[in-house]
Amino acid sequence: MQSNTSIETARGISDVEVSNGHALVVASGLSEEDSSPRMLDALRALKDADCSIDFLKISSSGFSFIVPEAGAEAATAALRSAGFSAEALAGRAIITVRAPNIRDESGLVARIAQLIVRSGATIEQVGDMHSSVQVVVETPNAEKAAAALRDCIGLVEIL
Amino acid sequence: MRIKVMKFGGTSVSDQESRLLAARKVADSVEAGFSPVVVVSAIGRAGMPYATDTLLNLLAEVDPLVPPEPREVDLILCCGEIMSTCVFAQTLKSLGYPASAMTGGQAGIITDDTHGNARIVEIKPADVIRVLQRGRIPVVCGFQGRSRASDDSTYGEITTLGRGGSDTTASALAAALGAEAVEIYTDVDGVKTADPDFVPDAPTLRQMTYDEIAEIAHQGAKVIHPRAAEIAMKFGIPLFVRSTFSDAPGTQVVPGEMLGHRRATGVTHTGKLVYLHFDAAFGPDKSVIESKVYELMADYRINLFMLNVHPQSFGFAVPRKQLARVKEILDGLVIPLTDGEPRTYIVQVGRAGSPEVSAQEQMLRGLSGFGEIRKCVARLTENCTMVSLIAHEFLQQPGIYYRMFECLVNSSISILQTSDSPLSISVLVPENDCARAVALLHDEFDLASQT
Repeated sequence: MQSNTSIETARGISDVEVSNGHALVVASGLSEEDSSPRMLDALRALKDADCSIDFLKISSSGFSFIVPEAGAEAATAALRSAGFSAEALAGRAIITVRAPNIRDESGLVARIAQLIVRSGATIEQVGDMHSSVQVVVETPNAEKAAAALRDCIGLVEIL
Repeated sequence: MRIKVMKFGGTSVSDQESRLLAARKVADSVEAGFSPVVVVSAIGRAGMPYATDTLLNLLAEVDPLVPPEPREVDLILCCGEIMSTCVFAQTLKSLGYPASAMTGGQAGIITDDTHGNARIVEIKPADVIRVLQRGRIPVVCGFQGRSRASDDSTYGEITTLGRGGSDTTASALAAALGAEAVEIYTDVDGVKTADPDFVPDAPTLRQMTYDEIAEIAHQGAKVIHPRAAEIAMKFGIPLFVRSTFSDAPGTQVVPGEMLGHRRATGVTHTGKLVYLHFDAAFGPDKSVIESKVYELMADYRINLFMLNVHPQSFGFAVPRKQLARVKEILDGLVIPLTDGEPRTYIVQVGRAGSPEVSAQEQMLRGLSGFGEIRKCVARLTENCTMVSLIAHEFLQQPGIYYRMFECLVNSSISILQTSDSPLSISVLVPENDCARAVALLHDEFDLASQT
């Protein structure tokens, strides 16, 4: 039996990891009138080209997503063949910020975003799950942003 | 000693009939050779006499203009579990099983000093073990603990653990006692693949991983709190979700490596959301505006969902109940920028500007030093909800997004935004379409055959 043990992970940020080698694919060619069917065309083209995509985000005129750098060319070619303008921006990193129980830590996602933007990095995409927030930034700024976040590990005050 | 922690939620202890059913589950485990440790929630749900919300209202009703202090809120909230514990221990005794009621503090649950949302920092289970060794059943208050002694408090203060606190108590006690299992008893016979109100034939999952159950809870399913799953995962304790009211086997939660195959697990939906889309010709000023908005959302503890960034815009969803607060914070916010040519942004929430924003704008235009006055309009899309497909590893397959879009768009459901993580893909849809979207995705990914 464990009589005196640390039971729960401390609130706030508990770890930060950076993964490099990703590309941001930005596509345009949607309009408000036909955005849903055109979006389907784009996703069908990506599926047919065997492209697995992450961090899909939709805007009024286009959409963007993340692929491994090695898969960027195939993704843009598939989109162009479906009639979209598409470009791949290599050199993207995913920062994984471990922060358990995010939904009950009101304001934590916003604070993480603020810390990253304040470090000089531009946030390009964000996702979250029960134990972490994933943020896509340009690789040259990733370590600086990660360092700003690591400075806050264990700091309850950031909430 | 074969210890098992059995947690009974509010509906399982709400009346004498339910408590007897719950107590018989405990008795059965004794007869099966276990030494059970029972954790109970307060009696009943919102509106009932001893429910947590009822107790909270007793304080709030004294004078709405004098907000109660967190310390007193925790003290009154703890009464619900203490009453429940005593009544449950008495019920066990009536069946011939000696039992001892214990507060969280008496059970050795030591927390940090954050009232209302405390974290368990350690457990000193000596007194729980002593009760077990005397052949009695410890019945422990869920949701509460005691902070460490400090200069302000010789014996520590009573604290509460926040949402899902009783589940957390159960997992934490199981970890500290080296229990063989933790069983969470509720009013459904395990974790369903979808909300049965939307998918009546949604099956119960017989097995799922710790990550899956934590994610399904994170994305809106009311099954078990992610904190409890996290503790069970960290200490490798088998976790079960079962019904007090049936003998169904329920859901067993296991490590990921025991369920190696890729699969979709469930479809969830998360409450009522409002999407804010900030649009302006920001140019290089975007990061300053963005940072200020995030800073304020963090300072005022606003929960952001589906954060979405584009070169000339950004957006996020907030819970509808926080919208009034968001408007208070952002509508009319003035952000002056003085590097280079002076310019000033005024944030306007909603297409139609409020009188405050107009007055602010007029005043700024009449003053010198603010430079060009620019509007940053946050367009609102109200009445949205987030529907999520939980699917560990399965999401890496090409074409998952296509399947989700195809089944929803072909049924005339608008997808307003998307978000994903290694464990889930979420779509923001109009609230009116939520039930249909859940049912369609449940069919598309054949979750009826998923157990």
